[in-house]
Amino acid sequence: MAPPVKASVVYKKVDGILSITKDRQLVLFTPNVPPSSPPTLKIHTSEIRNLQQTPATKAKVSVKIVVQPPGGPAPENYVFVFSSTTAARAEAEAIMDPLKEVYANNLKSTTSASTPNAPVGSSPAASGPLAMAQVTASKTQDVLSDATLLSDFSLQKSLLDKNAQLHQRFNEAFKKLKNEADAIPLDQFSKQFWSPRIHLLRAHAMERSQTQGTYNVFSAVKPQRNNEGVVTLKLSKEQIQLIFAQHPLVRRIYDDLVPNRKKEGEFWSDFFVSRLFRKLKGEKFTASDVAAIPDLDKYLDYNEDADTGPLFAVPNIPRFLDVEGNEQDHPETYGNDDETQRPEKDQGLLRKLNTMSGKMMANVAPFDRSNLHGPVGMDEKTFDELQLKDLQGAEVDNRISLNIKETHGLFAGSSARNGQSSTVSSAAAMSDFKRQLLEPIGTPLEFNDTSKRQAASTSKGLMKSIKQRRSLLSIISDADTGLSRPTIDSAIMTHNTTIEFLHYFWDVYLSGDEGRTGELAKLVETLHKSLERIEAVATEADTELQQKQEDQRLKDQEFFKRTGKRIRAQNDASGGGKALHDLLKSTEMAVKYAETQYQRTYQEQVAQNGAQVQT
Amino acid sequence: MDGVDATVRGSVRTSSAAPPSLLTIILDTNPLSWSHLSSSLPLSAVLKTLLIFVNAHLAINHANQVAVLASHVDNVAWLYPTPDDGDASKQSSQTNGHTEVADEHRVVSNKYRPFLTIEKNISKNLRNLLTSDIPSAEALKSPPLLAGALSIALAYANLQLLKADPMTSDSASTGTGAVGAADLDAHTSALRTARSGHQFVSRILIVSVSQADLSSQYIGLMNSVFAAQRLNIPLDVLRIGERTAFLQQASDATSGVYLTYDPPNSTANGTNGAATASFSSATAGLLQTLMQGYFSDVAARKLLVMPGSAEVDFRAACFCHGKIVDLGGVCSVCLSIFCLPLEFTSCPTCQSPLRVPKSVTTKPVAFARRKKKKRKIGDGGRDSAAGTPVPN
Repeated sequence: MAPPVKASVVYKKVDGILSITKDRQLVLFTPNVPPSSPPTLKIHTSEIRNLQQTPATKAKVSVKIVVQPPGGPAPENYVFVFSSTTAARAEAEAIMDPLKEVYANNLKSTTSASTPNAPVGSSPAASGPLAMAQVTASKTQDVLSDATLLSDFSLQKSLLDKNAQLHQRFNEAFKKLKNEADAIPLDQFSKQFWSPRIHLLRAHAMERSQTQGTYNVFSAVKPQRNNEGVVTLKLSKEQIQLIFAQHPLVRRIYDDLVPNRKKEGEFWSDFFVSRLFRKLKGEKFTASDVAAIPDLDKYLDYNEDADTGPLFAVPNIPRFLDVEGNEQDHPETYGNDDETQRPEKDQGLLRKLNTMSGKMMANVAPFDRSNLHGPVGMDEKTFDELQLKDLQGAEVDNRISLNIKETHGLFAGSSARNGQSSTVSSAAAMSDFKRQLLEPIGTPLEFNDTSKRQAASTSKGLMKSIKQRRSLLSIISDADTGLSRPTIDSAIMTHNTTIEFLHYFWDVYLSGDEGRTGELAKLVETLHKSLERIEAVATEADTELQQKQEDQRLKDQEFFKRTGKRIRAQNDASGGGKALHDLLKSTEMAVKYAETQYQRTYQEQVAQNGAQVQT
Repeated sequence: MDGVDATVRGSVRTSSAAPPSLLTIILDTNPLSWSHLSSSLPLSAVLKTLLIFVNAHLAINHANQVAVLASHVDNVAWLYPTPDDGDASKQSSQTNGHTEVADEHRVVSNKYRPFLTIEKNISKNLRNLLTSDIPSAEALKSPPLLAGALSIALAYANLQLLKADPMTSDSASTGTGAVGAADLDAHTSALRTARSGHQFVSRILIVSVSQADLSSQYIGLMNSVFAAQRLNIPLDVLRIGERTAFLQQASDATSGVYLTYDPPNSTANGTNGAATASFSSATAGLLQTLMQGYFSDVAARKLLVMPGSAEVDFRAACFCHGKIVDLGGVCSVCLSIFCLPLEFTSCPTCQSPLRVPKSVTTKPVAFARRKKKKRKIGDGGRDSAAGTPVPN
């Protein structure tokens, strides 16, 4: 143990002594005034996340300690300025050295502590996913923040590769932007593109951080019999590594036998037909089933799990999950009939598979036990979850009462309550009302021709609205609009990109960031071009319609020549630019609205600005 | 025992016939508004039309039921069934004999009794409404008590539902006395299953004439709308006169029908007789609207495309100034709406503290001010790309 270290420092403009306790658990700051006061600041060394020190060349010596309290929202910074006139630098070193040591240990222990029960001879094969899991566990918070996601191009690229539709949209938008507003740089564009889709990125990042774990390799290795009846077995390098990782015993035997007593290939071909293999796999066998291989059979009685130790050294397993607990608590209630409820008796497939799963899980860093300083074993929440609640009474009603204050008339301008003209006095209204009621309501209604016409026109209006509604419910089809499929497709594409640009526009416009006005202006330009693009599609549709009508006319003429009969001209005027504009009406409206908004704000601000310049 | 009882009932009830349907009509009876309409569509004509509609509803299925409420100036009154009779269901259409009413008036021998009962009840109750209290001039101008009327209508619909299907009422009453939130959930889910099994359907028709600001009843109305949504009760709105955004939203939220009916203005209303004749045109239109737009019940609506404007104005009026707002703030506790920027730090309706996210309050900037301008002057107009492209 190092002796306690002390140094005179200034912390938050208070002179005091900075010291580290003997066990290096705490860093204490004790102010000088009043004398012998208790330390005002305690820092747990285990919570230190970063240490910074002024470079040796500077005259002023200060140290910054970044601390992340468990469960705290954000790291806290503590800056200490070493105030000793003679030996500030030396004192700082004296404080920092042990802290650095502790900090380094912390780093190590957090890494190893997350896999507290990893098997001693952890294999190289397991370290891949293991390392991966640790990295993701420690970085999850940062990785999923908006800024990181927006700047992670490889992530965006992989998402685009995966999602073809998104990729297409990205390309379309990018192409259009590049052609027309060449000054928008790629990174700006990608930011605009992704910021409304940040949830997709986040989901993808989560998805990518999930890796496939190891699998039970014995079940994957299967001998195959080819046409000539020769049994072959394919075994890859990775599979061998996995076998060694999952079954240290095989590795030991391999080390013992190869290459002194058996050749590599011979070892494996022997192994996969041996009794040992059957045993490790958990299959039942009898001595007559499998031929004896003396070299391997001598390991049969070896308990594979003996030297790995218990896989889960959790001190408190909840009683609900603890099969061994059954044995201890009520051995008489669990008879011998249910093998799955007995901890040590069964050596068959079930147990093997269980052990296998246990081994695989042990190599994965637990994601849910991030708080290493929390209470060991069952916490309050787990306990609550495990409680049997079905016999409890109904829950107490915990509604929150809402106190409503009458807001009406609180503010000026709400006096016009009944919009009806108040020219009629209330007394006159009442008498009028009474007069209306005097007429007996039981008498039949009489209708004349006018009323029949009125009824018919009302009915027509209703039918019109029903038809309108029905058209909204059905999907756009070629027949309804009179447009050809390619035109509709290009209209849809134009609509998509326009909406895309509208997203960008509002994003930048509402950000209120003066620095982005140039970007905004460009986007407005692009939006305006969107209208032209719609116009272009409409022109296309118009020519298409003309073509169609021309074709029809020619056909009619031909028919007339051939038969001498004239077909009644089908004046099919549906389709064309008008139909297209109808289709994209709301899109155009949205663009125009955005433009007017922008121009109004722009002119207002220009005017304001001019006024400011003049004053 | 309950279980045995219930299973028997369940087996009896599985019929493929159309489910009985309850039609609740809420009639706005603000005298000022009706007086305003007297030249084009008087209340008496509307009542006659509504009676035809109600009779048609009763005639289509013998188990159908009707309730009529008047949302009056300062109270909500039952028009049918008359609540004084104790058990209201006695007067429902199935029970033919109701001598009390019949004795009061001369018996109309060629009228179907249930139709007559309803007619007499509505007539009597409306007169009671007039004689009971003369509302003050100020009260006349206040908005109709729609929230109260809706609550009563929903409560009534719920009661009828429980009567029609006692199984759900059993499950609701087996609670521990105080009805907790969990019980309520169980109750509504039971109702839903009953609904999906076509046990009993109901709908509410609001005939609205007053042009009034409903914001003072906003919370009550919203709660009613949510309740109706949950009970699968569509709120149909027939608006005579100008349209109101709120009622349209309410009917849209509950997948009801919202229609406005503009009565054609009668030109010849010099003498009383001529006026009555010209009303008939407006009345015919109203009847056509009612029968064509509102006649189908919930079960039938699943198979039909309903009329109504496809475009719904979803904007709401703010509570602070009564302005229609495009973008506003909503109190997360009581759902009050305010226009931006907020002028207060706590909700004036329910006193909950409000916190506005920064992104809402930032003003859009289309033109870089000061900094850039200054440089522009200093550099003699070198930077002209500040915000120039204004497409016209």
